[in-house]
Amino acid sequence: MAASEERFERVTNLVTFLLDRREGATFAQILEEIPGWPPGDEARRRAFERDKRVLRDEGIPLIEDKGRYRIPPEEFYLPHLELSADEQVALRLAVAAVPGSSESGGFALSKLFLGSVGGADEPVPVVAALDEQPLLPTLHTAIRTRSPIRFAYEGSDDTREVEPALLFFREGNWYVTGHDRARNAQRSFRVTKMIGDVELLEPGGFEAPERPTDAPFPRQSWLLADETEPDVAVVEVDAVLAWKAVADVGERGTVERRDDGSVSIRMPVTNREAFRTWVLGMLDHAVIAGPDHLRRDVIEWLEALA
Amino acid sequence: MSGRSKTDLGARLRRVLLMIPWLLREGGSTVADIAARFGVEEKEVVRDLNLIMCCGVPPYGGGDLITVMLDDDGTVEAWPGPFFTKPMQLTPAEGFAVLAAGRALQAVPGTGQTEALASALDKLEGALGASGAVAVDLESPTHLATVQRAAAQGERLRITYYSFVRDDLTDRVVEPLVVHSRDGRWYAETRDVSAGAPRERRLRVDRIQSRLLTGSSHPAPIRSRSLCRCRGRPGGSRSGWKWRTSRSSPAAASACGSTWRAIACSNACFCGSGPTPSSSHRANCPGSVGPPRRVCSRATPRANRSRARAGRRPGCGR
Repeated sequence: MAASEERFERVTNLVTFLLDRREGATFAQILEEIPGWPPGDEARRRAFERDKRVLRDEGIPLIEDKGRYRIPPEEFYLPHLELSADEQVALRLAVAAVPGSSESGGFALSKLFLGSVGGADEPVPVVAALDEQPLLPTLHTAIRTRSPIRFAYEGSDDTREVEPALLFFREGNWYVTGHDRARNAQRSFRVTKMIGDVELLEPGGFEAPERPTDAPFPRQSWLLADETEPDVAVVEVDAVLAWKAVADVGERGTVERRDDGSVSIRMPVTNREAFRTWVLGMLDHAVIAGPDHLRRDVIEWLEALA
Repeated sequence: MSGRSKTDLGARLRRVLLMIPWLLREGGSTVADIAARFGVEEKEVVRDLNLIMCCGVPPYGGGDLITVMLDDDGTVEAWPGPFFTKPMQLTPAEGFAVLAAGRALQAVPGTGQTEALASALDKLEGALGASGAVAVDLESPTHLATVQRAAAQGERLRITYYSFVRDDLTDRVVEPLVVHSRDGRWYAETRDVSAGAPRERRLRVDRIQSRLLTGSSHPAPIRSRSLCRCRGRPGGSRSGWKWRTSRSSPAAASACGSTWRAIACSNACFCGSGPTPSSSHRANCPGSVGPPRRVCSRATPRANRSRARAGRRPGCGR
């Protein structure tokens, strides 16, 4: 038998054996009970390490505790969700309409419905595409297992330690919202600004939080807390884009309309970077009328670019 | 194919851990059907099945093995053993992918809010161990609903649009074909019929200043193949789908290209390769009632023969 076949059989037997042994098994017992190991202690050890990695890569819950290995069946098997026919159709449609670039959604469906690999049989036009960040499943796991997370964050001097409660997509970005331990307050972090790996601390490390039913922060990015005192900016927008600026600001500002179709908008600003992006996005159609330090901020930023 | 990589081993393990519970539920199948269903070649299926027969727990006696029988005519039968009667738990990436997709579809104004989707996501979140942990906001620009309706009903719109490239407002007449959200922004794929030859144009919905439904419809579908992800193979083993092209949405129909036929379903389309019209597609539309149709019937009835249990087969390792 080819080596690859032998290895595959060994790995599969490892799964069934560890599922069967509720009390777990030591490496020595595994070697004794499961056939197909290469000769030599060192080679066997290496082969076992590789097998473990395959199991973990495939999401098999291999638990290692005081030299014993086991796979708890209650974690290994998918609980029966008792999805109705309508619910199955709804999930299939969702994965087809918001497919993402990975095959994860399709794999999930094939497990849920025991169907074909790849999910929906019928093509569906993509209705929405979300920004995909490799960290998201890890962050979701942290929320599910109530594991506090520790990470470095752009523009922050200290390492943040947060009890995550919610993953939230808005304006093209994913955010994780939770209780920031050092600041003892709720904070939201943009996932793309998390630097490097996120460390998951002890599972069950905090009480299940009350999840905000409303969005944890406003839609307008210039109102995202930057931990600065809010400014009240006045922006003049000409007739070409006045309608759009008014729609963007919504109820978060007061609008004074003029006969020529232009507007003057008074609006609170707590995030200067986002405010600058918004104003510059309107090119020559918008001018910051005040306050002076916000004007200077934008001018200096533009001069630095030149 | 020698020298399988680690990744291949993982993919094969994943496939087998899915194939076994599926086989057990079905009671049996054929090599050809399994190959089509799991997207691998038949010889690969035979290799998988031969290994499944060898797997079990020590001491590898008859009752401890997974019992699978493979006939020369390609018929496969399976009997429940102590393992793999159910599929594996979702990986973090899989669970998150479905949840995020579901929450995103719910956030699509006008189409996503079905009760079935809400309750399915509740059940899924319950099984994963945290409810309300993923939320998606796909804002709704002022004219989104109008553009969606125009796309669904094949209507023309007269719009005033801010073009970032020309940095000015322009008046246009467009036929919205498909409306979709990408990275938090809404876009409309349109056919611009303002002047001269029609041109395909992608518009940002939030840059539409004002709009007017013209009341005229656009009958001729155009080619926009890229808008629709057509999976599967026309004329393949899965030709159980029988769709017809819906007159109500040329956009949806055209999106599938000439190889496929489509029916409209809100702003989604389904494509099928069968030639005969059927009304059962409605069952697959969001918000509709009734069970979904089985997609694929088993190709070959199982041979009627005695179910001799296979013990450990010659050829298993060791």
